[in-house]
Amino acid sequence: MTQAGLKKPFMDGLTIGMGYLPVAVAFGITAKPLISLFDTTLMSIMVYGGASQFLVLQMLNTSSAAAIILAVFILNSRHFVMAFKVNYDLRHESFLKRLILSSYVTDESFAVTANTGEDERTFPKYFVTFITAYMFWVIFSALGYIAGDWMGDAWTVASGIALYALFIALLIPAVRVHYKYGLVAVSGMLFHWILDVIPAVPSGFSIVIAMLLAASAGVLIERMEAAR
Amino acid sequence: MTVLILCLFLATIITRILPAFFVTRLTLPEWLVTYLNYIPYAALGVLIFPGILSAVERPVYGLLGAVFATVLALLRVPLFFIVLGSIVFVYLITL
Repeated sequence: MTQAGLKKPFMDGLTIGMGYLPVAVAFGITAKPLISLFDTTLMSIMVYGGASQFLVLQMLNTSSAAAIILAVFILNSRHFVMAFKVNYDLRHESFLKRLILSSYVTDESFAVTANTGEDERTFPKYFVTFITAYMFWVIFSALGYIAGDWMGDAWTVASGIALYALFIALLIPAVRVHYKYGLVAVSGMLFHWILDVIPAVPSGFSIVIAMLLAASAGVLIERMEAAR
Repeated sequence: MTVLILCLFLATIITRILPAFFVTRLTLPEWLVTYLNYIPYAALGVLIFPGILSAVERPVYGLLGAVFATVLALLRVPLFFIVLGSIVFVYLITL
């Protein structure tokens, strides 16, 4: 593996990292009045899930440990579907390598690597992207806790767009290849929107259900195309 | 707190690593492979909306940011600069 071959995976990791940076800093700032620096960093190291970590802080004073664990489990259960695809794409790699990569699957690391071509589906490339993003998350959670004020409020707020810009930037090239990918994404948006309105569905489940439904819409579109 | 975090680690890692144990042992039917190939695009849609409405201060700023990112993506701007550019854009319109 040449170094040049790992430049793109590193840049991809850096891009995710740039998106993580403000979120991680915000997490550190939010955590400061509630838990210790050690626990804040440990949570970023061990849980590594933005939304779920904020959820923990939110529930900390009002909910039981069991409720928090269940909520985090539900919210992060979507990673099962994503890790399933990562493992399938990398089925030629050893169990241990797939196990390592699976531990770093997030919405962003999955989305960035999911569209890559067959020849890019190697352990080193995935690992470089995943670990770079992970480092950003862990380091900037701690830095946010220690020195959160260095990032002005206005910048922190504006940075909320970062991960969404990343998702959009990943989606557009696919839509350029074929409009059906756009249709699948839009149906995902609609399913998520509808499920979000139903109060009985926990938000973690609505993400998973909307994802699975929208992907079926893709199969349906493909069937209809084939029939024509 | 540290014990809770360890429990949260288990609750999170289990769904992530579970597929590693059985995926290669399965021979997936063709329809399921097709289905899996749509998962990334479905996921992107689900992650973008309705979350974008609460991404920044006001829903309309989020939507404007989304339009800006879309335009940059259509212009084939590299990923990294789309992310960076969108932050600057939202910062400027909220000034």
